[in-house]
Amino acid sequence: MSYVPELTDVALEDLKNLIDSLPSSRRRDAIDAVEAALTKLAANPGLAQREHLGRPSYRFGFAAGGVTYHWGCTFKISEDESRIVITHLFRTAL
Amino acid sequence: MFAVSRNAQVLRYLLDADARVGRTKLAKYAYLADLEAWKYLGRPISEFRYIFDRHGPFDATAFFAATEELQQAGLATESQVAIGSYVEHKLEPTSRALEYDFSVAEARVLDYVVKTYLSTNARELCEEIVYKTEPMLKAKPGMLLAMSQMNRKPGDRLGFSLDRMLAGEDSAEAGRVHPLRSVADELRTRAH
Repeated sequence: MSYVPELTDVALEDLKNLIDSLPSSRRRDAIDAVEAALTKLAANPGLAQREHLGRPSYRFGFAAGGVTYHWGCTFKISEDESRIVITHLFRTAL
Repeated sequence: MFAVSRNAQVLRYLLDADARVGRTKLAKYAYLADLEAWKYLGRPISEFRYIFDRHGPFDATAFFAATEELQQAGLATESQVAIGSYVEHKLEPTSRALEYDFSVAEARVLDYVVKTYLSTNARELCEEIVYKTEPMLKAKPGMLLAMSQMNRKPGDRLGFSLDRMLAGEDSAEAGRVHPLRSVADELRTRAH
């Protein structure tokens, strides 16, 4: 079952801050990669693990400008089970 | 309004979430909550100073002072229940209300610990969870546990933040959400 992916305004701000932290030449690739990773998660939330006070979370890596980045997110499934809502996006260690 | 110590507040909050819990499990709840708080907030919730005691991490003096304080203030009662040859000391919250001074994040940590271990009995909680925590594995009997070693709060301002995750959950509840597709399109436009 695939869910419609959404970001809270907090996660949106997180994403903007993460993107802005990158050199401008890598931002476009990073946006594409995040969109792809979160779309993949929305298609299969079973990819997540439980951490951060038991919340489902998902870590993903991507390359931009020849550099590999590791980011993660926490999320929840909407009550009507139609949407996956990203609550927080953050940089992770390997 | 009357003043109640931080330790007594922690115990009463845990009792509200799991009434009639035994002393042992109550003490372990507090320890596990402090462990999670160190991990995500970089500080404990209570003021207990845990020692590798005969029955695991425990600050006997402060714990008994807090339970006594709760009883003196009419915030909890204690009873003894015989379980075979063993006497269990059960604590129970009274109906007297208490205003807590916890932050949202601290309250969520306490909630998480009780919710996670509510159905685990005291022995399992000790043997399967508490004794296997990092500070216990690194300590020796009688030693003060190095709880601050659990501090994984990132110095990275873009790293995981419990406060931001909780704020994000509140946003989700309030319906402050944006479709990923439009977010990505907007950011791509900005990136040009």
